[in-house]
Amino acid sequence: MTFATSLRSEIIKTKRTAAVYLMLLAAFVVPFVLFIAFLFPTDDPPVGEMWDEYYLNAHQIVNFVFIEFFMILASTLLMQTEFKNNSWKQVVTSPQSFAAIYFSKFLILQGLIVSMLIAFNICMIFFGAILEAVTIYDCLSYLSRWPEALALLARTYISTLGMSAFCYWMAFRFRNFIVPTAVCSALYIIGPTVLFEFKISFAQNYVFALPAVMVIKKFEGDLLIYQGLSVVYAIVFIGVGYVDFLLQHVSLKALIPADAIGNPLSVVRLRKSIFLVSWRSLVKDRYYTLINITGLTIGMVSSLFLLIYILDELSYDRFHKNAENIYRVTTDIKESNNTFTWASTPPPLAEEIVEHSKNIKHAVRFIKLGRTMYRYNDKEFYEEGFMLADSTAFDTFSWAFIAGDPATALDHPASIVLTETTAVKYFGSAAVAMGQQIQNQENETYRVTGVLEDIPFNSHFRFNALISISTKQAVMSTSWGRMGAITYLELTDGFDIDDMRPVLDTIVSQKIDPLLADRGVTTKLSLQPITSIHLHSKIADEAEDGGDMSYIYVFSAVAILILVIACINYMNLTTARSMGRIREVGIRKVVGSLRHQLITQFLLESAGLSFVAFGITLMVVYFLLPGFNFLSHKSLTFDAVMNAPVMISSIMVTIVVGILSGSYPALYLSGFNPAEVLKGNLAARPVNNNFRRTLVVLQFSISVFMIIATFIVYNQMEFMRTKDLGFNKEHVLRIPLSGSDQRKNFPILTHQLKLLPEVVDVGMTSATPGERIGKRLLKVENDDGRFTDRGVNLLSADYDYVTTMNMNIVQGRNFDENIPSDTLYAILVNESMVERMGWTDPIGKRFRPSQQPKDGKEIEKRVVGVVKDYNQSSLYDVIEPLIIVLSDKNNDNVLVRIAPGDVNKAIEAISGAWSQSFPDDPFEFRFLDQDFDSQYQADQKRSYIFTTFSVLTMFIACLGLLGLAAFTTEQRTKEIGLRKIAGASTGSLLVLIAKDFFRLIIIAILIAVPLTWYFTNEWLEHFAYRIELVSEWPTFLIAASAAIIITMFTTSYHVVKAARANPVKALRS
Amino acid sequence: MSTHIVSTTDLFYDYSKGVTTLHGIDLHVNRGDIYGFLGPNGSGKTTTLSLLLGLLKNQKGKIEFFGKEFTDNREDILRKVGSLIESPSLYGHLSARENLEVYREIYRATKERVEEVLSLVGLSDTGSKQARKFSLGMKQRLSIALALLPRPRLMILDEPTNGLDPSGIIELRTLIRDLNKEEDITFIISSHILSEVEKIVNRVGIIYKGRMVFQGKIDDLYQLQRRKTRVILQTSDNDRAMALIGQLNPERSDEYVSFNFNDLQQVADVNKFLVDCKIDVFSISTEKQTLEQLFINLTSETV
Repeated sequence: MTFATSLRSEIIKTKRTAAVYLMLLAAFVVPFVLFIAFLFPTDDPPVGEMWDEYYLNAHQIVNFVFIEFFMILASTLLMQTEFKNNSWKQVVTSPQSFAAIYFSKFLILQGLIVSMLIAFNICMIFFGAILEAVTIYDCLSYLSRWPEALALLARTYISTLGMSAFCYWMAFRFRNFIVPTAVCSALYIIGPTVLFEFKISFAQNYVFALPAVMVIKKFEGDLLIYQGLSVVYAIVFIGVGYVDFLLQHVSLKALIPADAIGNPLSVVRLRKSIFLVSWRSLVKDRYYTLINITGLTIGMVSSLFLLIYILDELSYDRFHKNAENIYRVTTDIKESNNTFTWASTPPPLAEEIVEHSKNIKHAVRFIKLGRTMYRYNDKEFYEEGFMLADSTAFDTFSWAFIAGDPATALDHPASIVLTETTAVKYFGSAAVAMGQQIQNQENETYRVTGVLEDIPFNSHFRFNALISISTKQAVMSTSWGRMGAITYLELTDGFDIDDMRPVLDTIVSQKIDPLLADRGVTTKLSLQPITSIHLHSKIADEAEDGGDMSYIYVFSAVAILILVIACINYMNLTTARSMGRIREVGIRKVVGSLRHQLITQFLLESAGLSFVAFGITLMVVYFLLPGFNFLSHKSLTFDAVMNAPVMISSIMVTIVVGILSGSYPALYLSGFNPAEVLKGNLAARPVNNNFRRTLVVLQFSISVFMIIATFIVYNQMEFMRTKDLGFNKEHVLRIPLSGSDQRKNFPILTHQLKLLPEVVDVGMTSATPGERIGKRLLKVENDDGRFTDRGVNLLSADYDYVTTMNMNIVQGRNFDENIPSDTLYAILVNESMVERMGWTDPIGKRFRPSQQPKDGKEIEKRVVGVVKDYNQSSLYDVIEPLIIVLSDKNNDNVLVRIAPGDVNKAIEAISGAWSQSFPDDPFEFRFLDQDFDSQYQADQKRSYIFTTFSVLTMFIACLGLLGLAAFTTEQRTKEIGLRKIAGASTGSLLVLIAKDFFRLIIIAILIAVPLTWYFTNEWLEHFAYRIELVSEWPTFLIAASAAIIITMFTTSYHVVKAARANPVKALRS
Repeated sequence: MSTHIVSTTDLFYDYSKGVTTLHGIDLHVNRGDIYGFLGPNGSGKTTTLSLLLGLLKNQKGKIEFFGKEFTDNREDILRKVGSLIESPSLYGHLSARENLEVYREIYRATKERVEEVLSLVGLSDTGSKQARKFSLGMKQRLSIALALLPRPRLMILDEPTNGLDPSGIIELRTLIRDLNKEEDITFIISSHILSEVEKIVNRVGIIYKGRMVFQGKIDDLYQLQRRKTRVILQTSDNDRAMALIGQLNPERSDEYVSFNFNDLQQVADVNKFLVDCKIDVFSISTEKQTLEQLFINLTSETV
């Protein structure tokens, strides 16, 4: 009734105001301008219905500019009607509720907006009719799509809700014309700027951008979401605006009526006062509130980061449209005493398999190309990330094209599709690249037929360019015995993966087995869904750092633990403080508060805090995201946070955290018997301490666990970094060779290098430490002189390799240039080889190829020396039997040991030598130690994440402790005062208070240590070379001491403060 | 329940922290009063009235209308209160009738009532003339019509004579007096000119620098004013005159002797006495305290 009355009053007022005229103008302008434009037809008039050209066009202009400015001005003008006439005071002193005043005017604004949109449509029809009559344009034809027009109208209106609520609030807030107009216009202008200029990808969520979003094609699919968003904005801004208005006229104090206590049945008042009391108690205990918010925020920030990390890990390869149907073929190879899995298959497999099965839509092969130099004009770069690919690559995988046609890009030989970064590197821009030619160092020329967006980071393999496989068809191996190609299959929808089994087995038995069977090797082909490769594949030669499902579990656990700790903090502090609020609860109960109202009150407090923390969290995450990316080697954007699933789950978590952390205090506090409370009986009794103690113990167990685990992880990382690998990786430069010229003329380079004073030694090898090397099946002589087939790792090297790497010969000798027979017959073996074969005297033992060479000449190699075991691969793997063959072919790596000292000078000298040897080719090198250590990168970065979050965990736990200590100290201030007067020293007082906490920490440590032991041991299991936990006892000790020391510092802060204070003050209070 | 129509207890207000505009205002208006709320400019009149009507946020103190707390019964109270605060608050783009129509339903008034109040203030024949084209006096009268619309039991008029010509002022006075008598409307009228309202008010409250320095019947104020009046004598021998009337605590200035006025008989007695003592009395006059001086005196008295 009152509201309707207020509304009618507003309608009378609004008659003939500027806002109304503005509404008509805003509705009229666009149709009129369009009308003028259409009056003079172009040479090429559009035919058919005029939806796009006439109606949508106009709507776009309205949505982009007019409706926004109309809202800004209309809301300001509406309020100016009051302020200009000085009539506002009359409104406020008339018998209308504040709500009626606020909302009736808001409704008028809404009426104006709707009227404007309707008037706009009327104008469109009106001018359309004239155009239809006098021009060739069939403008009214758009009306045949009237349901769409109506929908667009409705959408537009809904999308304006949020913005109009904001503008209205501003107009209400600032009583002049300039400020709200300026503020809103500025905020509006930001909208298109961020949408189109900076392309901030979540800009479409911006309240001022929403009307425009409705007519942007890109967002067509999600319009409902944005409308929902607008409604949410509207609710928020109307709410905020209303409260703001209310507070201008009614003081907060007035909201809690003095006679509410005398009037127990005023439930409504109590409801109002619930908010008020919540607010007051939060403000009153600022210190605890701050601790709580800080703790919750840190907890939420950590969890949110971990959440987006985990989601990113889980999102690998899912961006492909048909991701669910794409499989990679892997090859399981079983030798007599060894099994391993390769991600690669024989190249002919792809074609063969398509013939065998109808279930396969596409089969795509990728073949890695070796390191090769490419040039365009004077730009030359070595490329390692170029691959050959079948023309079906883009049918199967949905990488986004910037230029070119996915359907035909790789159809022709010598076609190349670049990623954006590569295109920019050579040509300056993607647009320029199209159609250009690029040459490699073998003088083969490729034409750029497409440019892709860079391959997303969440792909299990990434590349910089794809070259059509037909280019190399002639030279491509058709052998079934070589594993050169990575094969992907896209299966038809609704396929049965089991149907593929016989197909694969048939191919193996027909094509591969005949080649390998006599060597005692069996193979099996398997299919691996690409979506599970990143986290589940254990194959050693993955292109990108693999993820690990177990880390996902670990991080999820950490995320949850951190949140739990933050919640525990809240519960702990709130229950601790409950003493102070027992009377409040008592009074409330006496005056008629029901228990559920009290519970609501406490839950509201915690939920409120929780949401405040969540708000801060979003800001913190936004600003710390680059740091987190650095830490985790990811390229996450804020989009990862600002999307519906993350936001919704975050908000859910926020609610759960709020309820969870408020639940115990709520139930605990509301359960008191008011009579007892008011008599003071309860206040005299200590509050339930056991619950709090349990929580503290739990919290610190988690913290100690994480501290120790962090130390262990760190120690293991250090161990791997510093372990004696059997060679010296420091001060070694690795220069990769590529192209036939470099491979042929390397002696010139090595000769030049050896002359340099900075160079100690120069050696060459087929695979530097850290690189995987292939196994070869050989016949190896036993101690009893017979030969058996053995798969051994085979490395080729030159005379100086062993000395350059500072490896040790434990038996026999190194290759010797002075012994000519070495060139043909000499090999070195490692200790593991000796052990595997059980040789008593390895020197002179013979190796033969497992198959007779075609020319019949069988070269038998003999062991001339035994190299001390060294780690060819990472420390994850045990050292395998290895032979080193003297060879000057295939040695694509030059290793240069430089003298310790000025590294830059040495590099300069080496670079000089390179330019003399290969004047046309750019010089590139890497440090061997960095190269080698990069194997641990994945673990390293995970350890960083782990460390960061365990520090944070500890920090939150300490925050809780700090608050609890403050509380305990506060409670015992009088006691401390008395004791001090009786002569107690600060130290003894500290012990008095802190010993309670220490007891808890000790229990926590006792719980944490065995758990940590168990879990870190599990983790260490997957390292072949690992630290032993038994010898890590100092770590446990240090971690435990750290926990104790931190506890001491945390608790002592308040205790010392209290103990130092004048006891008289404490006693007087 | 008190008989007060309006009563405030210990009202404080500050516009910005540390600068208190109102200090513990206790304002009491009885039923049937025409209450003059007086004070020089900037003394806190409008602030007090704005607080009364909820235009400003009540920071401290209690406001009651008709014995009920204001905040909790805001709408009920406002329905019975007509007000005019400072300048007229009218919608310039609407006619007089439309201006009233805006509030008609809110005050639950009938259409007849609109005509009634319009004729009461003499604006029935303005037709569709927009309020912004009204003279200030017409606007003021329209505002009063608006305040009268709800048949209020209490009217709060802040400086209602602003902009009115003398005849307008007289008309307004008559109107107020009639309404007070015939319709039993209680008035609170603020003004900074005592003479403007003294003819109609029966009670006054004087506010100065945010403090209530006087509150009571107008007769009490007159009495107070009389007490503050000084009698000025010009005599042939001022020095002797001073000495002779020493018990009256006279003051001496260059030209005259003055003493506090008590009653008329006293003036006659002094005159007689001086003449008997062979002092020629050239003139006897009284120096009336202006309201401003009275304010200041009242203030210093309070402090």
